[in-house]
Amino acid sequence: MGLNRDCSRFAATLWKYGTSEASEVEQRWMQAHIDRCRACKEQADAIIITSRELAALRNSAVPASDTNFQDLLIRLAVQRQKTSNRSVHLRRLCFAGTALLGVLLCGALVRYGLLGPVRMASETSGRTPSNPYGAEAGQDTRAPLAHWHALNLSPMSSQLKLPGEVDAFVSAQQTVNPGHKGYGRAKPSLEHREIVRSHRLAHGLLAHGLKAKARRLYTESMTASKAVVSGQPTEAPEESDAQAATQPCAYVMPAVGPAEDGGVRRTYVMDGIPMTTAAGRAGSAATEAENPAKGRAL
Amino acid sequence: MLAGREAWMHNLDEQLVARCHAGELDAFGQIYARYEQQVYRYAYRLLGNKEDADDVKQETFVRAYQAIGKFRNDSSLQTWLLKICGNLCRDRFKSWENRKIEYHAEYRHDLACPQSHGADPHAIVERAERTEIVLKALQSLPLPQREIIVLHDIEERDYKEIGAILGCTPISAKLRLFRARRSLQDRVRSMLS
Repeated sequence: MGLNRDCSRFAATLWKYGTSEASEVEQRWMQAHIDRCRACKEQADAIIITSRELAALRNSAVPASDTNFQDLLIRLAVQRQKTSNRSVHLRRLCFAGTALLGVLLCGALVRYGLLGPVRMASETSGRTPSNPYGAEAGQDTRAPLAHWHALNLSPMSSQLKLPGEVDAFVSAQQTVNPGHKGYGRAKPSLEHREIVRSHRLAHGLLAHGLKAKARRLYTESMTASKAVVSGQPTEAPEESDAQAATQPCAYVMPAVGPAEDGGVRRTYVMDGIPMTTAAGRAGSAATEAENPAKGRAL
Repeated sequence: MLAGREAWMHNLDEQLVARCHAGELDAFGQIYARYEQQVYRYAYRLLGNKEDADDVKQETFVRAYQAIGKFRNDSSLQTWLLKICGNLCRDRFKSWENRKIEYHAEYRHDLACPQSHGADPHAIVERAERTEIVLKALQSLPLPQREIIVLHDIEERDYKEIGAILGCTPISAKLRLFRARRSLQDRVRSMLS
C-alpha cells in the first residue's frame, strides 16, 4: 500500500519517528497522522522494526576471524613469488619476441637488402600471363598436350581475343578426331597434330611478344582446321617474292601431302622462304617448324 | 576530549605510515592489529560470509602493504582501508555475477539477538523472525545501498567519512542513504505483510 498525496508530507519525517530521532513536536504531529492513516502506520512499523534490528546488528559481534598477521605475511610472500615468476615470464617473453623480431629483420634484409628481391616461384619458372608455359627465348615452347587441353586454349584466346574462333577450333578438333577425349590419351590424326602445332607456334610467338604474327598464324591455322572439317585438302599459298618480303607473318601453314618414300611431305613458307620436310614424325615436326634451318630448302 | 583522542590516533597513524615508508614491517603489523577487526566486520556485513570476509580482509591488507608507499594521509588510514575493502567486495560481487554464481549470505542468526536468554520464549521467537526478515531484506538490497546502510546504520560512520569511503560527496551520501532506507523499509513491510 503506497502513501497518498497527504502522506507524502510525512514521508521525510517517518524514519526519524521510527528511530525516535524526531523532536517532540514532530513526534506528536506524526502520531496524530499515524493514528488515522493505516498506510503510514504500516510504514512506521516497518521502520521501527528495521531500525531496531539494525541497532541490534550494530551491537552484535561478528564471528571471529581465523586469519592473523602471520597468515598475511605468508600471503605476502606468495604474492611476491607470483610477481617474481610473472616478471621472469615477462622477461622470457620479451627475449622470445626480440629473437623473433631479429629473425624477421634478418629475413627482410636477406630478401630485400643484401640479395635483392627474391623471385617468386612463378617468376623462377618463367610463367607469366603472356607466357603461361614459362618458355624462355630460344627454348621449345611446346607444352604437354594434356596441359594444352586442360588450358582449353584460354591463355591464347584471352590474348588474341578470338573466343569464337577458339570455340570453332575446339569443335574442329572434336570433328577431326571424334573418339578423342584428351590429347594425352589417344593418338591424334596427322591434320589434327598440324593444327595443334600451329597453335603452339602461335602461342610461342605470342610469348615472345610477336602478337601480330601470332594472330596471323592463328587465323591461318583456324582456316586449315575449317578445311579439315569440311574435308577439302589444304594448299600451300603461292606468294611472289615481293609479297613474301612484305609479309608480316614469317610462317605460313604447311601444306601436307604424300612424300616420294611413302611418308608425309610438308611444305612451309618461313620468312618468305619455302621449305619442306619429308618425314612424318610427329615429335620432330615442331622442331623443324621452329628451326627452319633443319628443313631442306627447295 | 573526543577530538583530542581522534587527533592522537591520527598522529599515531601518521607515525606508523612513516615507519612503513621506511620499510618497518613491525609498523605494518601494528596497523594490522589496529584495523583488522573493523575491516573484517565491514567485509562480513557486506558479504555475509565468514570465509569470504576473511579472504577479503587479508587481501585488503596485502593491497594496503603494496600501496602504502602511495598513501599521503589525505584521508584517515581507517577510511583508506575500508575503501580498499569496499572495492574488493564490489569486485567479488561482480565476479560472482559474471560467473552467474547465486549468492546467499550466511549471517549467523544468534548473533543478531545476543541478549535473548531470560526473556519470554514467545518474544524470543518473534524477535528472531523479525531479525530474519530484516537480514533477508538487507541481503536483497543492491550492494551500493547495502554499503551505505552498513556504513551509516550499523558501523555508525558520518556522511563525510561515508563519502570518502564510497567516493562521493557527503550530500550525495545522505541522499543515497535516504533512498536505501526507503528501499529497505519497503522490503521489510512487504515481508511483514
